[in-house]
Amino acid sequence: MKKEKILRVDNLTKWFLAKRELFTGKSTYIKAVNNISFKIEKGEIFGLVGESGCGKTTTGKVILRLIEKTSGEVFFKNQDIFKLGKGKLRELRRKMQIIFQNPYEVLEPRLTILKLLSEPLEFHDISHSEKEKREKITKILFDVDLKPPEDFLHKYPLELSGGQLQRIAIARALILQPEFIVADEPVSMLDVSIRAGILKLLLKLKSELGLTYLFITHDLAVSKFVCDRLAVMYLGKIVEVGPSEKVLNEPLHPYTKALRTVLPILDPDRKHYRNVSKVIRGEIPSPINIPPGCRFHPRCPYAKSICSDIEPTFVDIKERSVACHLYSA
Amino acid sequence: MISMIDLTLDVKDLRSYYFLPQGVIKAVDSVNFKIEKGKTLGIIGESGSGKSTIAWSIMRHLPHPGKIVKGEIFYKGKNILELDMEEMRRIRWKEISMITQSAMNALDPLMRIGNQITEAILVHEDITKNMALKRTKKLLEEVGLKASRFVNYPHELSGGMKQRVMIAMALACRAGLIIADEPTTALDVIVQAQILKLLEDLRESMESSSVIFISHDLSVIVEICDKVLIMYGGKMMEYAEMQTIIKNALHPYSRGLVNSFPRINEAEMSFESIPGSPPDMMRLPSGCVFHPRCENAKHICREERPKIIDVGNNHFVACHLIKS
Repeated sequence: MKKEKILRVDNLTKWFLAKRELFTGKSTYIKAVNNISFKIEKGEIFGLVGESGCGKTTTGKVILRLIEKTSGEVFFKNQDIFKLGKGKLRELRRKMQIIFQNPYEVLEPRLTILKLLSEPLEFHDISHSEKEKREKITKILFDVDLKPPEDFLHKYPLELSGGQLQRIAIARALILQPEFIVADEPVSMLDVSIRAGILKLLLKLKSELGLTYLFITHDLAVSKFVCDRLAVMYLGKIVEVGPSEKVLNEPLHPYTKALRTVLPILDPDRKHYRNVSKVIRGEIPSPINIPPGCRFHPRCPYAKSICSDIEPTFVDIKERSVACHLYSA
Repeated sequence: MISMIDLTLDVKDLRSYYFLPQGVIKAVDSVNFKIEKGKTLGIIGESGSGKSTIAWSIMRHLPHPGKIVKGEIFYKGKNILELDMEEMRRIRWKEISMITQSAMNALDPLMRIGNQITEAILVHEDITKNMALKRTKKLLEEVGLKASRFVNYPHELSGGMKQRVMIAMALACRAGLIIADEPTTALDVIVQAQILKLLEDLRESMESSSVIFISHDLSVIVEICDKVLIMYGGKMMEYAEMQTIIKNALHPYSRGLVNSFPRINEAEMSFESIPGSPPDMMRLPSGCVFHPRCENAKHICREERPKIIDVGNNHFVACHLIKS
């Protein structure tokens, strides 16, 4: 039996206007996301990994329609989210939530935790009585391991630690009982010693509440711990997709290989950075001037002449899809 | 035994506090360590552990309202805490230089990068402008930038390039001690690896310089440093050779840090966190500052601050559970 697809992204593109010439009217665009497609099954954790500027966060935002697309389609349970009117969109927002990187930025410091968690319920008109609301909030605090919940209700964000705040942000996303969560670098701002705890919480909540995640991260190690499948992005394009085990243990695309090579492994005798110049050259180009052909070719140690002329299409190989001329027959 | 001559830095009982209206933050509270000539010491800790305050104390550039309240910092045998501001100015950058996390904030946005480096050299060394210019161009090449970058302004460079300029500045006067405070934290993984590679390559040509490498990222420290000092809540938890910390860490916090690093190569990924969260520096726990998060904490841990114990092999640990 085929699993239910909860999200389908088809040829999604998002460009931002960088500048428009006054007299010629010529426009330059930041090509943040270019023609990407993927599907996420119900109950799956799908990871988008890549360096800053690769378009992973923009993708997450367009999927939730927090920003508008340039072209392409996004289907949430077979509904094209760009065709929804205001009312329908509001209904959809209940089902699709986001957890941001920095909880300090998203949680209004002047509101108590009780108020912060009541807001989404009031906005979506969910709980009718104060008692019902209170019960929901207590339960969700319990779910995110802030125990006993009563101790937290009347506190302000500044009275909590970074880890506790991220738990509040998670609670705020979950209180609406969503089905799909975009988690955008949920642990990268947190102290190292508490990261695993937050990730384990996300995994626990996923299985208890039957959630599906799009998990955005720059950290390959974290993505291996959390994600079932991974898409590696480079300069606004997916270069490799597959089961996270496969992608990380035997990477195919030269860019994935480079990311894997520089990943430290906590061994004083094996210095991960030593081989960096063998696996990748130079710096990431600007998303305004994307190189022709394969966008990775100027940095690729395996580049051939075809790579600078023709953009590679996806090839299915070893349980994966990879966009690289090395694998196209 | 190490003779005094071979020691670049010897820090004894350093205490640096911030005096705020709400109370005193003991950001660095009795820290001791030594760095031998040509060696790299890693200082690791989470936010608020005091690791950057150690760096600023050595530079004698503590931000207001910070004060060094006690201790001695011997640089090549001379206690720099006894120097006046003018003498300290001569040492800064020439003898002790610093690479910070945000190169963006450390560089003057209105000045060409080449001029910034040249000026730094001219302030400290009695050489002609021509010689300084030549050295600047050579430095730019050493850090992997084209000499033609001389005329660029900071905003024309990428984050990685700016960090390279910072490194060139820190190397400009061949300082005996280079403090690198989270030099790669703001960078992407590939750029981070490129910068670490650069630092290692440069290391070979500057054998006599010592380095303090400050980071929250154990995996970076592991690969760069000879020794490591683990800080928590402004206090030293453990201080040992790098190998010792990875294979035989004694302090529960050090072991927790090692386990909170995801081991991607192992079939069953181990990835643990330490319960609780880092302490509020205004209201530090009694006794051992780590006791509220320590699974093995006993009565004494709440009552008494543990002393630093020498367990042999240059290995020091502050924990009641460890017997010397």
